[in-house]
Amino acid sequence: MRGNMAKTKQTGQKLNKKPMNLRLRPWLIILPTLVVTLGILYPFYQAVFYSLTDYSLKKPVWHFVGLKNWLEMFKGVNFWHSLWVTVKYTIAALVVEMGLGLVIALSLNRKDNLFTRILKVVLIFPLMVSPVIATLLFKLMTNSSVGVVERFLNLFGVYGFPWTADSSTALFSVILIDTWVYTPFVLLLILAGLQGLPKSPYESAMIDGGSAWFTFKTLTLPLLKPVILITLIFRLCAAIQEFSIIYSTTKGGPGDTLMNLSLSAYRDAFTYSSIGKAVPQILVLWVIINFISSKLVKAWLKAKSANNG
Amino acid sequence: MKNKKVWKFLGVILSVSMMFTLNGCGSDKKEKSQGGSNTDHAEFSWDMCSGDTITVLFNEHQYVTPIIEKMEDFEKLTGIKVEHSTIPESNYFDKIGTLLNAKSDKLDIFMTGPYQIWEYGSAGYMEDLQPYIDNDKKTNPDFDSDDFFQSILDSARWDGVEGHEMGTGPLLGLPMGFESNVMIYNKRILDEKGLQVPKTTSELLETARALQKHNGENSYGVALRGELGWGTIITAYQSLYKMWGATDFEVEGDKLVSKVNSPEAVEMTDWYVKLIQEGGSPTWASATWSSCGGELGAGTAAIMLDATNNAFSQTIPENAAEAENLVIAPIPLPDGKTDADTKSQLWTWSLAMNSASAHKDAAWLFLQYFSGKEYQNESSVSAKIVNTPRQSSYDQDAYQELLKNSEGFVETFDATVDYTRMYYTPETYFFEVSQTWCQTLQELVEGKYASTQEGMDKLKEKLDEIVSHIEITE
Repeated sequence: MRGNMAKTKQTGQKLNKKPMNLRLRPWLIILPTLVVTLGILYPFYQAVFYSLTDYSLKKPVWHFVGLKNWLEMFKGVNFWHSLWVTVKYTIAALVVEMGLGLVIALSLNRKDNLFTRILKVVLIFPLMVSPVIATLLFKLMTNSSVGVVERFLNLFGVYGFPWTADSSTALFSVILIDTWVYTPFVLLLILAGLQGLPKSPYESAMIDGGSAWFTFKTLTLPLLKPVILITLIFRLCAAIQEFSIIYSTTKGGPGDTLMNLSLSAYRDAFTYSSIGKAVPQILVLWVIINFISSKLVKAWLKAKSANNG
Repeated sequence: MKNKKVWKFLGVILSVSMMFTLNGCGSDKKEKSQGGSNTDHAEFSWDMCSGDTITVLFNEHQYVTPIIEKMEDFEKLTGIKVEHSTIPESNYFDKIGTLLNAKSDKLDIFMTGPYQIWEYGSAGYMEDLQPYIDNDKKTNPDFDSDDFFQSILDSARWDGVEGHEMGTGPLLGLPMGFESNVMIYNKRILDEKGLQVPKTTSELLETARALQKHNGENSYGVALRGELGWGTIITAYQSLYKMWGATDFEVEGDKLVSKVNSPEAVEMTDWYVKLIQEGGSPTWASATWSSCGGELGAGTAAIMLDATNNAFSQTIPENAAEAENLVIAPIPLPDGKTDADTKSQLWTWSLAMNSASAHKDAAWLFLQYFSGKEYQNESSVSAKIVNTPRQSSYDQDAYQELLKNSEGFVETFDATVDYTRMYYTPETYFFEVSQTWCQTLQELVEGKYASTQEGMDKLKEKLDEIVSHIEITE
């Protein structure tokens, strides 16, 4: 009796058992995603690991130092200064580029003629230039011997404008380059958003006699909010990590005027060869970006669902 | 249950990756070949490593062009295949440092300067080349290492003890060329303004002041490097600093102690800040060696204090509009100092061998070919290498003829060559120290301190903190 029962159970188990390929299928489906996720996470894991060591390119061996690098970073004035520079740079770049991009996009969207069509193409040119090349162009244009901008300023009696050579004008100068390079990106996204807006609400507003400002405030801005937020996320992530423009112009100077977190980490890692001291700064940057981006993504989802009714 | 399995799986993956990480850094891999020999030849032969492939990483520099041109000849002579790439200087040492630290055998030969030797040499990343020179089986009898200017060869020799001067210990590189620091002025502009060539630092300051706006609002007196980085400190500034009698560090017990706030250091820095503020470029803080040279060559600047190579290249007519008006002279002496107090900070580009190289003998053949007499004599003239590190190259008629085209060069070289050496105290925190120093200099020029003394006192505190990790062990 017992023997029969055991035999029946085994047969039942065999019948219930799925073929190998069916059992592996879910794993095979998620495998590429898993590999990509691990590939993304590995550098972060490695950064955390190195932040707990005294790993330096100057020494062939390293030791665990616990939280020493983190504590030194938070205690030091350099980190807080670099954080402040990062914040200033990000806010200035975002305010100028988002404002300018929105205004230009709105004006280009008002009329569709040959002139605006040419402008739409020309205004996107800077986006095709790498920030380092843009910086070199800027340096040439502002050169006191041969610079076009310098010569132009001379017409108004301005000579030897210090540009990136003085701490009072350095931030303005690098924001100017950033604006030249990235405003077309903002313009492109917002213009695409504007052109995708539904026509009927505008027609209704026109019939009701709504003013341009009223239409912009109550229709365009709310409808465009998801696009603005997405643009903001892209630009925020890039501006907060800005490296190439500042490095190519001043390497963080004069003094430490433009030493943002990216440059400070790069300097510690490759000029001072101290990887252990550099990575906590990068991780802080990552936490900040992650936090702000997640808030913006939530706002974007909310705006999108509001628009969908 | 399923979640548990997933976490277990992730745990295994992370453990494995951690093992790779632990292996990847900090582990001491065994070298694949010894510095001695992996070939057993009775006598030297250029083809003793035929069939080997070596990897060379060059910095983008004028010294490299003739090497690349002669690469085919070297490959034909030795049967060695050379894989080379050239990287701009702004990223060059990042790449070299990373490869050396990883003990990568993908790098056999690289270019280096004396300051990098302090980092790489003390970490054991660089092969000692003296045993190769001393080995008759590996070195061409015509190599003649005594032909190198002694002080230049010594700038690649260091015992690895911080605070010890260069010149003793293992030979960690072979020089490709060297630079000292000089003054170069535009005689046309000085003549037009009725000014004499400055011989002292007081005269230099007065002359630079008088030359401000000499040809319109954008022109200025003296071009000096100012960009944030070690280059600003280690060229004209460091030469004058030493001439003033100031010193960077002194060894006290087993520690290095900064002396940047000594009376001589403060007086010199105060003068230098005035020179920039009253006779320099309004955009000094972003001035690089190339922008200084360019503005001198264009006539925007009337005087420049910088490295010989930069000065010399502006005297070549195809490089600069003002080339024929430019004259090279020694850097003026501080008041009260004599010719015996002349000092010129040295910079050398050397070729070095990675101690983790898997093809050391082939790499050595490359090194001796491109630092040998035949190559140096030819390239010093064809590529206008200033200054050549070999006496025989310098003495060639064709080279002397080349130098004569640059007014004042030979006289300045003769007057300063004996005083050209590494004056900076060797230590492994050089880049952190010099960058911090440059930052303070920029802040002083902007007037961010109440006095130069205050700025230099604060700098001393920072530098003492940076080098506090150094313990000098004999």
